[in-house]
Amino acid sequence: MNSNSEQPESQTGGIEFSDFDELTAYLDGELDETQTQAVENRLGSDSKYLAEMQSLQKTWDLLDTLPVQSPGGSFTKTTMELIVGDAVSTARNRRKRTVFLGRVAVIALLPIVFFATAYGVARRLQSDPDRRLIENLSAIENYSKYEVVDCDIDFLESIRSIDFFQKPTVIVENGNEIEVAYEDDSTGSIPMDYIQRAEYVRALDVEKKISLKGKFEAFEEKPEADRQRLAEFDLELQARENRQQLRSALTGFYEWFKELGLSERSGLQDLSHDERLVEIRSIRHRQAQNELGKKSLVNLPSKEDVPFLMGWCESIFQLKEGQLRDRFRIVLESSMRQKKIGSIPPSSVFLKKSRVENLNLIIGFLLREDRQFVEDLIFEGEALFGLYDILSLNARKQLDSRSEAEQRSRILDWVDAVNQSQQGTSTEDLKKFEMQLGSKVRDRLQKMSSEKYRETLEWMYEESRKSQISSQSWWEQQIEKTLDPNQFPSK
Amino acid sequence: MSVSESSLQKASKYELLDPDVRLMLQVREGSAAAFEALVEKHQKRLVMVLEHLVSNRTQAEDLAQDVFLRVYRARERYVPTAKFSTWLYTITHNVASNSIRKSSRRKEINLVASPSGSMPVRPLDTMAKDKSNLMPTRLADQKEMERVIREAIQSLGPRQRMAMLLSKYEGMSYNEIAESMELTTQAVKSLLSRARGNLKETLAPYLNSGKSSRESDREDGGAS
Repeated sequence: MNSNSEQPESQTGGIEFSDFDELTAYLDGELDETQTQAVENRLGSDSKYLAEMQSLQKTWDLLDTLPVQSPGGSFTKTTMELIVGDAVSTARNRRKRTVFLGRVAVIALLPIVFFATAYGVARRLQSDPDRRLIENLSAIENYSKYEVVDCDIDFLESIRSIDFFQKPTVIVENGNEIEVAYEDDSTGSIPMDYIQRAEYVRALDVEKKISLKGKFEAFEEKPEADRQRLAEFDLELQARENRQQLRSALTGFYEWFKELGLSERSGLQDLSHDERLVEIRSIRHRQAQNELGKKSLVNLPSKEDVPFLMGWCESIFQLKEGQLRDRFRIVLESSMRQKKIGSIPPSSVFLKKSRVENLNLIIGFLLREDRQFVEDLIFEGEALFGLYDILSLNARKQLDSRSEAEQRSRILDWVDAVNQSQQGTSTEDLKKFEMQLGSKVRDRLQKMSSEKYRETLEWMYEESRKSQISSQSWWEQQIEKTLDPNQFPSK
Repeated sequence: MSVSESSLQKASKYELLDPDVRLMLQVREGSAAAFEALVEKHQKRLVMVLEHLVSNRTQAEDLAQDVFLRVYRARERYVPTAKFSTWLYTITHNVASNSIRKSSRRKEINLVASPSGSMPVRPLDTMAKDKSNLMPTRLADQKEMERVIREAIQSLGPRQRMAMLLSKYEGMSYNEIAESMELTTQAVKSLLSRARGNLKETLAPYLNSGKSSRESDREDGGAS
C-alpha cells in the first residue's frame, strides 16, 4: 500500500474497509437507530469485529492523555493590539491611494478609531468598571443582604440555625432517603468563570440590567474597604460547602428583615450578634402567634353548613383524586426546576411521591402553587350545583350577593380551610391548649423556632388527648428533650 | 419560502443557540470587549489544533493570531449561517493549509500529494523509521507517551489530522466538520475512518501493555 495514501496500512483479517467506516461512525454517534442496532447486533456475535471496535476506542481514548496548554498570558493582549494596529494601518493604506479615497478612508477610519479608542483607551478607563462589575458580580447583586448580616459568616450560620429563615422548597423521598432541597437565590446561577459571567451579564434582560446598573453604582460609591469586605465575604460564602443553605437562609432573613418596622430594624442593628439573635427569635415568635390568630379568622360558613361542606369537599376530592395526584407531580417537578434547586431527583421519584403523599397535603400544595387548577377542577361540570344543593339558604344568599369571581374565591377559601382542618390540629385548639399549660412550659415553648414550636405544641396536644396528661413537670421534662436536637420526645 | 427568509431564519436560530454567535454579532457592531471574550474563549483549543497541524508551538500561536485577525476583518460581512466554531475552524483550516503549502514550497521538499488534496503528507515510512529509532523499550513516563501520540497524529495526512482534531477536541459532528473543511459528509466519514485506522496501527503497541513493538517482538522470539 502506498504509504502516502489516506488508507490504513493494514486491516485485521475479516474486517473490511467499510467496517472501519461503520465502526467509526458508530463510535462517533453518527449512525441512525437502525444502523446502530445492526452494529450492536454484530458486536454481540462477531468477536473480531468487537475487538476492532474496542481497539479503535482505546486508541481514541489514548488521545485524551495529551495535555492542552494555554497560550502565553499575553496572547489576548497582543492579539488585540495586532487587530487595532491592523485596523489603523489598513485605513492609512487606503488613505494613501487617492485624495478622494483618502477622504473615504478618513470616514472609514472613524469607526476603527472608535474601536481602537474603545479598546486602547476605554479599556483602561471605561471598561475597567465593566471588569469590576463582572469580577464582583455576585457581591454587587447581594451586597444589601451581606450588609444585613454584617458580612459575618458566623452570624449567618447562627441565622441558618433558626429554621424559619431556611426555606426548604420541597422534601422528596428518594428511595429510602429523604432529600431536602433549599430554595436558592439568583446568585446560584451566576457562573464562576469570568467569560461565562460576562456572557451572563450580556444576556440579562433590560430590566435586570437596569437593576444591576443601579446596584453597581451604589456598590461603587461605597468606600474601598467596604467593597473589599463585601467581596471577601462573597468569596467566603462561595467556598462554604453548605453555601446553598446559607444563601437560602440569608435570603429568607433579608426578606423578613425588610418587612420589619423601622424601629425594630434599627433596634436590631444596635445589638450585639448574640443579643440580636435572641431578639430575632423573640420577634419571630410574636409574629408566629399573630399568624395563628389570623388563620383562625378564615371566613367559614355557619356551623350548620360546615359538615355538609366537608362532605362535599371529600366527595369532590375523592372523585378527582387521580387528577390531583397527577397535577401535584407536574407542579412539584416544575416548581423545583423553576426555583433552580441543586439536584433534581428523577421523574420516578416525583411519580412515587405523588402516589403516596397524603391527599390533603397535595390539595394544600396545589392551593398554594396552582390555585387556578384547583379552581377549575372544583367548578368544572356540575360540582358547583352540588354545593348549592347542600348549603343552607343563608349561605346561598351570602354567595349570591357576590360576583362570580368573588363567589369562586370565597368557596376556594372554604375549601382551603376545610382542607387545613383535615391536615392536623386546628390552630384555635392549639392556642386554647397552650393557654392551659404552666408558665414554665409556655416559656420553654416560646424559646423555640416557630416551626419547632408548632410541631411540639401539636405533639403535646395529641399526647394530652390520648393519655389525659396534665402533669406540668412531665411536660417540662419532655420539652427539655426537644431542646436537644438528637432527642425528640418519643411519640 | 424565499432564500433570504431562510437565511434570516438560520441566522436567528444560530443567534439563539450559540452564545459565540451573539458575541460575534456584537463584534460586528464594534464591541471590542466581545471580540476579546471570543479570543479568550477559543485561543487555547485553537492553538492546540494549529500546533498539531503545523508541529510548531510558536508558529501555531502566530497562526492563531492570524485566524483571529481574519475573523475581525470579516466582522462587517458576518452573517451567522453556522455555529461560530464551525466558521472559526473553516478559517483555521484555510490558514493552516496555506501555511503548510508555503512552508513545503520554501523547503523544496518533493512530497507526493495526498489523494484527497494537494497538501503534503509526511510519509508513513519515514514516520515508522522515526518511531523505531526513538521508541523506548518501555514507556517510562507520561511525557514519552505524549511524544508518541504527537508523532502518531503527525503521521496522519493534513486532512485526516484536521478532521480528527475537530472531531476529537472540538466535538464537532460530521456535518460541522464537512462545513468547516468544505467537504462532503461522506468524505469526512472516510477521512475519520482512515484517521482512526492509521492511529490504531501506529499506537497499537502502546494500547495494552505500554510495551514497544520491538520489545513485544523480542518477548515473542524468546517464547518461541
